[in-house]
Amino acid sequence: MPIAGEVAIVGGYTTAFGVLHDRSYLDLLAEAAWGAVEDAGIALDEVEAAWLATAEPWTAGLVGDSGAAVAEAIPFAPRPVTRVSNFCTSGMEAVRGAAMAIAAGECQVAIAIGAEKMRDVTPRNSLIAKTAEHTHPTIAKGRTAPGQFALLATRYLHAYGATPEDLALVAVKNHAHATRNPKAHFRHPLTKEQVLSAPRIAEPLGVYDCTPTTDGAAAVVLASRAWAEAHARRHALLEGVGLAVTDGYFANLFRESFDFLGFPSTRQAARLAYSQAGITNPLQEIDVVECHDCFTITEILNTEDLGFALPGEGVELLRAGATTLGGSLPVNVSGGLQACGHPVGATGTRMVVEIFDQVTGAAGPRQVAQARRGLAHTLGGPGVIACVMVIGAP
Amino acid sequence: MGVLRFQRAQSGWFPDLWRLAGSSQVIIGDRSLAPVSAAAAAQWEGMAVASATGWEIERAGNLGAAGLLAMMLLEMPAKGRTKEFAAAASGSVRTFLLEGGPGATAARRRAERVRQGGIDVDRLPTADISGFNPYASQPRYWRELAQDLRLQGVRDAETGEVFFPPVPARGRPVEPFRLQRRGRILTYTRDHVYPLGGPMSMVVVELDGGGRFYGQTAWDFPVEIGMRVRLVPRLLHRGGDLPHYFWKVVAD
Repeated sequence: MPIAGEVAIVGGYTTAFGVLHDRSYLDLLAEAAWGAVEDAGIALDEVEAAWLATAEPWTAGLVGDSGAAVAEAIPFAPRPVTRVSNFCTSGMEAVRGAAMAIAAGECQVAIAIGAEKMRDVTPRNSLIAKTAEHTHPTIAKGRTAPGQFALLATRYLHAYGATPEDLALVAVKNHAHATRNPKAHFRHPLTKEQVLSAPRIAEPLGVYDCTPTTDGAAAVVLASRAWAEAHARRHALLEGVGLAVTDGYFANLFRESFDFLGFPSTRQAARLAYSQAGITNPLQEIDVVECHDCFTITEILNTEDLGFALPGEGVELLRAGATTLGGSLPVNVSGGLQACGHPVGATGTRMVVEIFDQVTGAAGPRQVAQARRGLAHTLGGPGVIACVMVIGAP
Repeated sequence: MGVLRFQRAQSGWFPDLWRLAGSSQVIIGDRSLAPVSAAAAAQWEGMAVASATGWEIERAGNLGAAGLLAMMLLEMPAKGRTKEFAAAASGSVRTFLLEGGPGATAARRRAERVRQGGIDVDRLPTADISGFNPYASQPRYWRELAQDLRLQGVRDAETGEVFFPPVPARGRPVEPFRLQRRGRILTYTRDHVYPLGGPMSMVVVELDGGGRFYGQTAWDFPVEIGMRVRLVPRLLHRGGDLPHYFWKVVAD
């Protein structure tokens, strides 16, 4: 495949994630773009094309509804900009778009920016309101994002004898990791008791089982391998990229074939990425993982779908401490969506920056020792889209 | 206390047709759709116009058209008396014959008591949908009536997999398939943040005969995996001034 091994990440930057009332959508976009360009050690003029990931532009007055926002935020005119949206995989979709253009020879250097301004409206006026007010007039009524994932939590706990305490372990772990991440939305540790006693959102999920509503942006500069070897200060290679789309947003949870115990989209995306990267034993061959922990249950399911544990055994991997920093396969050492938050379009790009830093030894207090190969995974909608990227040191 | 017989339907693009009390002029509610034919307008001459939205009795839930039908039955307590009425909405005019039956007199007395004094039995709490005006579309409403009201889906003739909501037919060997309305709970959640009528459960039901349903419980009752349930029609909301009937789940 043209991308695998031939497209490099040469710079990356993440803004603070949080409730950033003093910074506009364009401010965040600009900060991420300039940060990535400076990290790459190049001038903005050297970037030939841009991809912009913003999934919910209506929360910010539709400013990010097209690539035009980039031409406004930074001096990028008249270069081409594509805005992409694939639910929560959008941030990685932007990286994928830029990578395909580079692999095709359309450009040598491109930038992928993910940006989302979710807190210009209150959390209740954000995705909950969207699902209640703007979606399909009959099929969608009653749904919420936590409600949709809670269905899998209920089924998983029933099928495998896991408990809400197991779910709480994900929140405790990821919030502990985030104490080392100055960019995370929440940076203080949580106890299991706090997670279990928090108000319920969609049972069995409570407040601390859910990602918060967050502003933020992240950007990645990509280049061809040849350019990277000649010019980059540091670089990592995209060794495998898989995108899988399995069903419609509203239809998925009606499907007879859906077992509520995992996501076929992740399994397929991982299959593609592993095949391109030559990975046959992911648990051994991957050193660090950022995966889509929008809810605590989702991280457990992801570890199974990504092949790190057999069905039903993701919870054992978690209980054993394997996925904690210092364990055999650290997962979400950034704090994940649980603690960083989830500015939807920015999340995937943030993950790519994190793995880029990990495999180039630049992750500071979160560095996983001797990390050479990492994986980033996002899951879109109620799990109908998944993107997996394997990123490795050259 | 009565029998409702379907007579006939005439389809076409009928936008909102209003005829105000005391006037013989038919007013078109939405001029963006096709113009009303003379034949269509003529059907309305001499017919009383009533709205289902006038029929709310405190604590009785969302009666919708049920209250309107009850009023019509109450006006003809004698058995054998009939009344023809038409319902015009969502692209067609459907004509029905309503025939009074035994028990209408007793029902009338009770209905009058309820109208005057309010509901006289304990009711289970239902969602307060007053003021809920979500996205709605008249063409979509008309196009998906069978899906919404009859749970009409499709079934893959080769694999047997049932698709509800139905998928476009091209590219898959699908045939029409109507969901049954009883089944067993596969999974559920009790949702506290959906901004209407909560907390209430969302359940996924494995339906007898194939297919799945994912929707709200009619009220907040305890649910568990494996429980037998059935689907009942309910009024979800009146977005765009259209009564959106769909299905909810109750214990069987």
